[in-house]
Amino acid sequence: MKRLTLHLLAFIAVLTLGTSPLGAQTLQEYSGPLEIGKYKGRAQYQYRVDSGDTILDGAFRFSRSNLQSLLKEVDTSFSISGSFTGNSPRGPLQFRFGTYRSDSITDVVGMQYTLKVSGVQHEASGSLDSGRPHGQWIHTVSRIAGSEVARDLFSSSVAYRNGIPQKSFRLRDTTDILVGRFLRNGVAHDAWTLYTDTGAGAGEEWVFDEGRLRYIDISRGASSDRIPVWSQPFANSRTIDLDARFLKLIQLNTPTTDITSGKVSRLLTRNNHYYSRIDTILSALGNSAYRPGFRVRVPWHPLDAADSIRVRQLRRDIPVAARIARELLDNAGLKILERSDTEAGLLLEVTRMFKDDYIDPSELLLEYIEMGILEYIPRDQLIARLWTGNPPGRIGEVPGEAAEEPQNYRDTEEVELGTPSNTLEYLANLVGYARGNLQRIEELLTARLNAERQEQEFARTEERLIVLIDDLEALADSLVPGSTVQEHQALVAIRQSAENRLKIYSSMGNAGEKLAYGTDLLGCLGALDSLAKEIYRLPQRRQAIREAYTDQVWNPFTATLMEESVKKRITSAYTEILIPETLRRIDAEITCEHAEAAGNFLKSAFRRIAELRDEDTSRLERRLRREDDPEIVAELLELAFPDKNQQE
Amino acid sequence: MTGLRNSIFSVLALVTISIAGVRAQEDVILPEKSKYKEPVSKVWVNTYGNIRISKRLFWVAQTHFRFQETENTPFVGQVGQVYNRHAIGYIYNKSFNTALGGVLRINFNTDEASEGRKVVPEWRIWHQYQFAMPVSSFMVYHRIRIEHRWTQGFAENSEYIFRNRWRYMLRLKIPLNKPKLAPGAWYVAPETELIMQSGKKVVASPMEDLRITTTLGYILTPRLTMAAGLMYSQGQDLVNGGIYKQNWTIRCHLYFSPDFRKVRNKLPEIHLTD
Repeated sequence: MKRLTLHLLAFIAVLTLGTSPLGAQTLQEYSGPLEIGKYKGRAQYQYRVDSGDTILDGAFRFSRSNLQSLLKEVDTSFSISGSFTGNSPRGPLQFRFGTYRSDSITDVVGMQYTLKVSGVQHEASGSLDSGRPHGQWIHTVSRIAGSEVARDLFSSSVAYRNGIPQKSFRLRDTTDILVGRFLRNGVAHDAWTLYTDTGAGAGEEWVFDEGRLRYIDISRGASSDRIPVWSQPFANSRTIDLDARFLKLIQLNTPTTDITSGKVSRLLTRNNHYYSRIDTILSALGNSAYRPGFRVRVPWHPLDAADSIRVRQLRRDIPVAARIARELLDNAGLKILERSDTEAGLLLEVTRMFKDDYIDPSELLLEYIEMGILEYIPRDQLIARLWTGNPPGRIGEVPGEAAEEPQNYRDTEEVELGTPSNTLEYLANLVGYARGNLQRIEELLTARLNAERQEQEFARTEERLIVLIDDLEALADSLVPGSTVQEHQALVAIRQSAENRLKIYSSMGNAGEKLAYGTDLLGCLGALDSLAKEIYRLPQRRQAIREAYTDQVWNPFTATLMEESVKKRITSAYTEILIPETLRRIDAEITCEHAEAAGNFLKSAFRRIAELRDEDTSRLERRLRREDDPEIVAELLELAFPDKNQQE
Repeated sequence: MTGLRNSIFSVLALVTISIAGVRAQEDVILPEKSKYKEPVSKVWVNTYGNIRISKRLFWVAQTHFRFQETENTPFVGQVGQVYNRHAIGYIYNKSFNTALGGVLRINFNTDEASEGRKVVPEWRIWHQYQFAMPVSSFMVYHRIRIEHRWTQGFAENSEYIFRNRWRYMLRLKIPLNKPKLAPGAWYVAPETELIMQSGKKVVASPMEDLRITTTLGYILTPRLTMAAGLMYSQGQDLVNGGIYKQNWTIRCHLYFSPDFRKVRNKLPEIHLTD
């Protein structure tokens, strides 16, 4: 991706500069933004394009500093300069990474504003040949105060030849110095000694024999501990880099002592960290292998073909089982269900047991697998350590809480576990067993959870159905001043229709069908309720229409103001045709669709009539004169009369 | 307009005639006691139009047909007079309005024995002031109407006589089946009008007419009302003040008040005094 970005940028540069056609071997120059991982800045470099690939060739500069961000809070700056040959860094390279703050006090010196910064700076310089360190490489990490080095925090000095460290190295931090030497092939040899400023005699010594770490001496004043690591020569060994894997292997070999927090380990880790920071950038730019290159030997217990299959199984099953266990144990719904449902409680308890006794240790194993150190450890020792003894067998009894009886868990019998043993074979079976059981538990619990949810769904649906039915009954029972017999009959019919439907619902057996019908019924009763409310409002709406369509007229003969109904054809179309005809079509057999349509019609008819009051309607009134077909009347009023024959 | 011009001509004509020397009035002997003539029955069919022409102005257009009994046609009688009364009215506020205009009355000779003309015109200028006040659920109206009237007899070459008429009417309109006068309301309207007259020819008969009427009306719409009633009236004979004429009149009324203004201009009618 980084390469792609680089190519893209280079391509754009070619287009914009337009200096030479693509594919030419002439050097081109790029100057512009560049992003490599978390490093984002401006770059300037020379390159050529070879078969569509950008080949860095020539001087390279990449840097970033931001005054605004420095003045505001913290600026993270960096600067890289050097050169490439054939896409590989070659010759002297300089790196500087800094995290600076400023006190924002500026000074003018020689016509330049100067600003003093404080922070931490990592500088590295040395040479590379074909992407590999060649010659002396020095890394210095310093604390900067007032733009001056206040204190060296770390320094590393290693001489290389074609990527292989030569003779000896020095790693130093504020209190300690580690000095060690290599064989010609870069393999650690003899004593690597840590001297400390803090007190005489306090130190640490790692003694290698041609790359094999024999023992570690840790001295505190007069006393000294010798921690044997690999005392015996290896029957079978491999040479590897001295990196996190090696430190982990030491740790696994000396379980009683915490080597990784020792001073030597810390310095080596820190050195690795600074090397990898530079390697990240160089690898993204071209071909390079920038590593400390310290080599060590470790015992080798190769994985045979069967083991490799089991490793693949473990890599597949452990994450699945771990995910299921985590999801089940974190599920809020299950946490609640556990309190009321003993079976769910048992299954969750089993899940907990699987997590603690099966999954958690397996996940550690997975970590070693992913690190790639499995073939350097005797598996039986490793497994024995992970489970302190033997891995567990099947889960049978689940201990009850306090006074409760233990409960039996019936596991799946799909997997033949075999006798517990500290072998990858047994572990693969065990993890497969855990995975299979957890998947079954997940299914069971999900089903229980769904059943629980369905019950709640029923309760909610029925509660709402009852509210609607109550509402409909109240509407049918109420006496609204100004309401007509026809309106009352319609309300009673609607209530009857709702009750008929509720009867069907309550007599249904199948839970799934019942819930589906109930959900539909909610919508249906909602439509009936809306319609009933529209009918309930009719007297009030008639009154509103009557008032809206009444003018105050001066009668000169009586010298009084008189109310006069206007646009009577429109109001009577509403009160004498549309409303009665709509109501006439409402009976206990009304379909839900028709109820909804009728409710909407009553609502929109009222709205339309109210609108027409202020519109010029003389033509409409003429056309309404001879019309009493409700559908045509509705059409003239730009309404759609509800069709009773709508299918349910 | 024609009516007005005619009226002015009439005034001029009258003045000329008066100066030319009026024929001496015959001697009139007043009876010892007032003498009441036999009542005459009449039928009046009146239409009253009040046509709104602006927020405050309306055109008064009334046409009355008055039938009078004759020997050949008792009771209903034959057409005696046809009224054409026009004016421009002004609504000052809800309680007060006025009108000013002219009348052309066509008088038909109902006297079968008469040798004179069959038809003669009569001219009037009139103005009226009407006060309306609501009392409880009914309305009370006071109407003052002043008319300047030129009449002539049926005889050939008869002169125009000028008289002023002073009319005061008290009328009630009482709704019967509704809390107030509104469309669909039946109402009863008792009224009394006293018509006094003055003029050179009016010597001993100032009381031209006293009309006592009761009408039953029905308001169809604010713009259309129908009413019918019975009126008793009596008044002094112009020639002999000692003689009183009496009439029983059936009156039929049609009141209409169309409004042809655009809807926009009609509203709001309630704010007459704004």
